[in-house]
Amino acid sequence: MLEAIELTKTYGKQIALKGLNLEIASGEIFCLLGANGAGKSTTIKLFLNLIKPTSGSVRICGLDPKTHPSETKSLLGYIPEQVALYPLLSGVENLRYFASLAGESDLNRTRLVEALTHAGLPKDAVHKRAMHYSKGMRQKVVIALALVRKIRGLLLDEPTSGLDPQAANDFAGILRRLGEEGVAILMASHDLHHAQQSATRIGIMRQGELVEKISPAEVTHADLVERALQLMA
Amino acid sequence: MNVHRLFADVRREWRLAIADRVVPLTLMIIGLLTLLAILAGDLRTNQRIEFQETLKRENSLQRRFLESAFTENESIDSAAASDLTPNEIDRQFELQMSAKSPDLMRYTDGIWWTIFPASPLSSFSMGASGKWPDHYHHEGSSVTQSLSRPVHSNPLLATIGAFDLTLLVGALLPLAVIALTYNVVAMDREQGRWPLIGLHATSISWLVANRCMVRVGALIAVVIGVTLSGSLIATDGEWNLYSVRNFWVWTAWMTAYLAFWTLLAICVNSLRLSSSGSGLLLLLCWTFLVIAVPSLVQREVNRRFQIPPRSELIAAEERVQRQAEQESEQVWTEFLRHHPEITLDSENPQQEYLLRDVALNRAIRFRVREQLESYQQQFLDREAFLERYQCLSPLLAWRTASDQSAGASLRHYLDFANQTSGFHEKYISYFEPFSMSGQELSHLDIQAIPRFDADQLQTRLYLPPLLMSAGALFVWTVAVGVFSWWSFRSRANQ
Repeated sequence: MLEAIELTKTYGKQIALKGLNLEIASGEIFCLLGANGAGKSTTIKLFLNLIKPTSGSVRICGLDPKTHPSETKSLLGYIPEQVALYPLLSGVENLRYFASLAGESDLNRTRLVEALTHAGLPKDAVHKRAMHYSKGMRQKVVIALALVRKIRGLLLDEPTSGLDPQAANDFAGILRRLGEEGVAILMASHDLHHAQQSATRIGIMRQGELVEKISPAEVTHADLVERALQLMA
Repeated sequence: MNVHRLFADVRREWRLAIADRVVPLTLMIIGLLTLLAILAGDLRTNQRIEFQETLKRENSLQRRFLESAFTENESIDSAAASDLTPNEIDRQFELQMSAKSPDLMRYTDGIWWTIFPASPLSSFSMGASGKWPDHYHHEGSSVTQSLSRPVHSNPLLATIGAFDLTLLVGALLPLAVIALTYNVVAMDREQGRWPLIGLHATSISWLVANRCMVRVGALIAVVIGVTLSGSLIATDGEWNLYSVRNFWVWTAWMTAYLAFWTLLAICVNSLRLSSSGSGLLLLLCWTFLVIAVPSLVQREVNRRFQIPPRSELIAAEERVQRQAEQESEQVWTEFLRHHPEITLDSENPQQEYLLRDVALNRAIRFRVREQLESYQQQFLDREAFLERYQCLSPLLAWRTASDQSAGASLRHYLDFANQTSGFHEKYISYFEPFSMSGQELSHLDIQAIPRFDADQLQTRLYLPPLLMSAGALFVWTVAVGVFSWWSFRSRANQ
């Protein structure tokens, strides 16, 4: 579903990503762990076609974003670290705006409200202006957007940073639900606990390279922490 | 892109625009300013119409005084008579006494007015109307002496100068366009929404264009709505087909002018500058195109085509008159040479006296016409220069088109002046045969005295300057459009 083939990105002499090979199937939640500058966000941006690779390529459902930008855009959802919405629009209006921007302009209000509540936004907050939303609530609007767009892949960049434990837990639940619905998820994170809680596979990155892939179900949390810290050091 | 998707996109951006406080506030301010401009123009037009009504009444009374000389009781009806001022009663008596006289022209000197009726759209544009008279007082020898300019007593004009729709659309609406569009995407980048927008929007160039067009479209709708309803109310809906046509020409030009500014905003937004950078660049463009270039062109016009003050023209006419009087014998000989059919009756000195007067007036008219033509030529040269160089700024192109479609351009006023001159010639020529032959006027002759008709003059459209304006606007708009397209394309490939 999401595939990176010998993906490399350099900025001058500095290597941000080196020969990444990765395949994420439908329903899989892959979490990239690594220190700052390890290449996690670069990977996400390359999948989103926000930057061009120096060499190698990415595939979204077999399509190259360079040659099929519109088609691949319509298959992907993205949740950035800091979700910013239009503060003077309500949650449902923001959702309608971004859905329409993505070509989903025929959604009625009931469907939009359903998506928001399904994403975990409290019913009484749906019609409030987004200026009153917390970070978690803003993220839920973007998750609702992914739900109404029927995306095939979701990319997340540090989604749980700044969330309180309860919100992070809720968020992990939502991700698992999306995974069960067949969405391939690639997430960049620093949060080992959250990674183990929600991911089906974890990749450790160091200096632009994917140094190890771990299945969280097969290790304890303590082992995961120890190995991750060793590899990331 | 299908129509359904297009409407959906427009609706989406409209919802976003009205949620932004700047948009409704700007639309409200522009709506109010448009209303004020219409009110100012309407006030001025009403003053003009009121004054013209007085002149029309005077024209009508003079004719009725003359005709009353042929009725049995030699008096006009009592209802009208009761409204007459003492001066008018004296005038009535004088005209009744001389109505049949071959010398009637002498008594009708200074009693006829030609009037340029206010166009139904004249409230849109002060244009050249403030510089030129909209009425002339006909006197025996020439129309030049009566070149008078009506004094504007409009309090708005006195306070802030010529505030009209030409100024509003030409200078203030581009500022409103800038306020509405300078940061349509920079704002999203600065507030962190760009990744979401970049991922979801199928085309960034279409998104920018759509946002700008929706906002400017609302602005145009407000201006057209207020202008149309304001002027229909002000004129009691008394528009003819020409007025409707001119209104739509005006609207098309305004839309074309604002399309240029919209494309300029799209172009600046494509450069990916910050909000303040975009705003500053657009303001620089505004200063250059709205203030600097038109000022320079105007300065050059004033330098090249200096127009002598009207007082100089009047003084010149007086000189011509004195000169003709001094050369009266020569003028008289010349006149007789041109009219061999005239045989002077030595027993009727009155005949020679009248003919000498006709000859002198003709000579003065001929010489003054040259002065007047050279005076008008200066205005035409200025106009031609401005028309030629309107391509230097879209504002100049707009101003030309606006004055033309409002029926208030210099050409309209010069046409009126020329038509007046023609009428004057016709009027004098009508009376001359009576003076020369000594034949008395009948009731039918009085009824056939020439009448001035300028009803269609104010709704005339002059295609050459309009086409030049269209060409200038088109070139500017296409140039900015091509640059925007190139800018989006080159940045998309980065």
